[in-house]
Amino acid sequence: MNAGGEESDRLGGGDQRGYRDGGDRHGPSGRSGRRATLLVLADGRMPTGGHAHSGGVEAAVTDGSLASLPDLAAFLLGRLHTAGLVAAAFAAATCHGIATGRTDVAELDDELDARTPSPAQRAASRAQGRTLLRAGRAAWPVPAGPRAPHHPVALGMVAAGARLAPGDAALAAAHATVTGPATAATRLIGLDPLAVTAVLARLADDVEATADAGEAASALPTRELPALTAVRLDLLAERHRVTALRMFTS
Amino acid sequence: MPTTADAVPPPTTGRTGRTAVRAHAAVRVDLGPNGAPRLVELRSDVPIVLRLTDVSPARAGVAEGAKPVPTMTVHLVNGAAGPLAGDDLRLDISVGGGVCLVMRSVAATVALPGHGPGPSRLIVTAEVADGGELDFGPEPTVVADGADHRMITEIRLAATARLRLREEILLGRFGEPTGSVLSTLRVDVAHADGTAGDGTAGDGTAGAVGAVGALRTGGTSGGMPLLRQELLLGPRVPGLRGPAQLGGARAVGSLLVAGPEWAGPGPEPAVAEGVGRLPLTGPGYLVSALADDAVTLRRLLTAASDSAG
Repeated sequence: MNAGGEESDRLGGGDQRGYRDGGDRHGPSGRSGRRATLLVLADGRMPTGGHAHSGGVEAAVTDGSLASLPDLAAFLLGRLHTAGLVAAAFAAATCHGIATGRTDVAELDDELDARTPSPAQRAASRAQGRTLLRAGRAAWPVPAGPRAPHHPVALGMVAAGARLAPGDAALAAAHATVTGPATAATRLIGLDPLAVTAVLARLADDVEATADAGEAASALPTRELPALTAVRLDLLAERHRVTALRMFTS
Repeated sequence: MPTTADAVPPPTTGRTGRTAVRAHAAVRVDLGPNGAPRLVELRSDVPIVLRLTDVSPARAGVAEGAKPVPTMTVHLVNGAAGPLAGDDLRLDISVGGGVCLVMRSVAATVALPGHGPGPSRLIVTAEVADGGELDFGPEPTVVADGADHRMITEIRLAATARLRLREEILLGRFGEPTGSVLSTLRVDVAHADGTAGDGTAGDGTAGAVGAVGALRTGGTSGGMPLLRQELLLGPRVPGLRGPAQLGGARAVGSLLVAGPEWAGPGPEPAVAEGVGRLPLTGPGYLVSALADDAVTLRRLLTAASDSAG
């Protein structure tokens, strides 16, 4: 915990928490493989619920603000640096909290509620968290926790069950923040899938930086964890819920 | 990348820039023994000048349905231009049980660049006791070109306290590019049997300007987080003008309404062009809005709240 108020806005000291027990990532520990499996589980194309959610893309297409590849790139960048950072921090904090026993997973889940004012987004996040947990439990001994946690908390739980590190959970969270919406955009407005893949490839450094920032921030007291908001995403989520004709749940 | 941390360098000690100002103002109200609101403390500290502008004691015969809550109105008067870079301002608010404190400002705040080190900073803390009400609705904050402004608002509500909190941010003066601003809002609500936010303000003299320590010592045990929100705006924020964040909007605002009557189902969610009314998990709702100008923004926020019942 922080020593005092003067420290309140400073980030934690980075990765000095000894998650090296997974061994060399190319060694026989299997961590690379588990990390790859986690990324696949988090991917929007897996039948873990992500394929049913566009992360606001469908509503943005409907209101005309997302109609082209550059629009998609700007959308993904804006989503990554707000919701993506929050997700990365909470995935890492959950994984860290389980590994150390120092943070209550339910408390993190409540804190995400407070960071998600849109009821539609809360419902979408919990629906995806629940299905991710089911898939994760089929693969690894995922520790007990909320039945339908927010998606980043579920990612952290699954990562902990796979004996992965908080940084791995953060990377999966940041990755999932952009891949699901990108896939949805391909389907919704007929963008060239190869061009969309190129957009994602150009975002790779931002995804990694977001994961790193989220992991670093995860050492903060829970109430001070990142809470960056994207106002249009909130409004788009609510607008989508009352739309009669829609392909995606959110 | 602009994370929260980048926008918030740790407070520097020995801040000596000639133009930097430090100020610590406070207002405390409670219910006097005669049933009238009592001003326990009204401490101005230039440039934060506080003026008591109205007192309305509870009277019998108030219109049906409206609860006769003794009310005090205090206006914030900007006693100097700014805030400018390096300025470090703090306002502590405490509202006792059975009274309502209405806080307004007489004019918009314009955050400006300056010669001081670091960002300009405004910290507002508030504690509202059971049965107390805080209605904090200052005029907009205008983020001038080149400004680097930091706003932190920390509020603790007792279980039956009420809050109405409006924040409006304008991106640049008319026809001007925007500066940078990071606004953090953290609101906690105590459980009915909890101790957090019981209205006992911390020692008003404790801690340096900039420390929010008095609010943190209680942790969140005995309470729940109602809202955590960071709004990061500025010319270098990735994707700011994209369809996920602001689009073309130049005015961003929110109105948080909290109170025991919103526990349970709360108001229906509602959405219209540029505005949404979002029921929170806890006892309250948030109106969030985007607009091209301040007048439209105010209208959207007010209309979405008025229709909440």
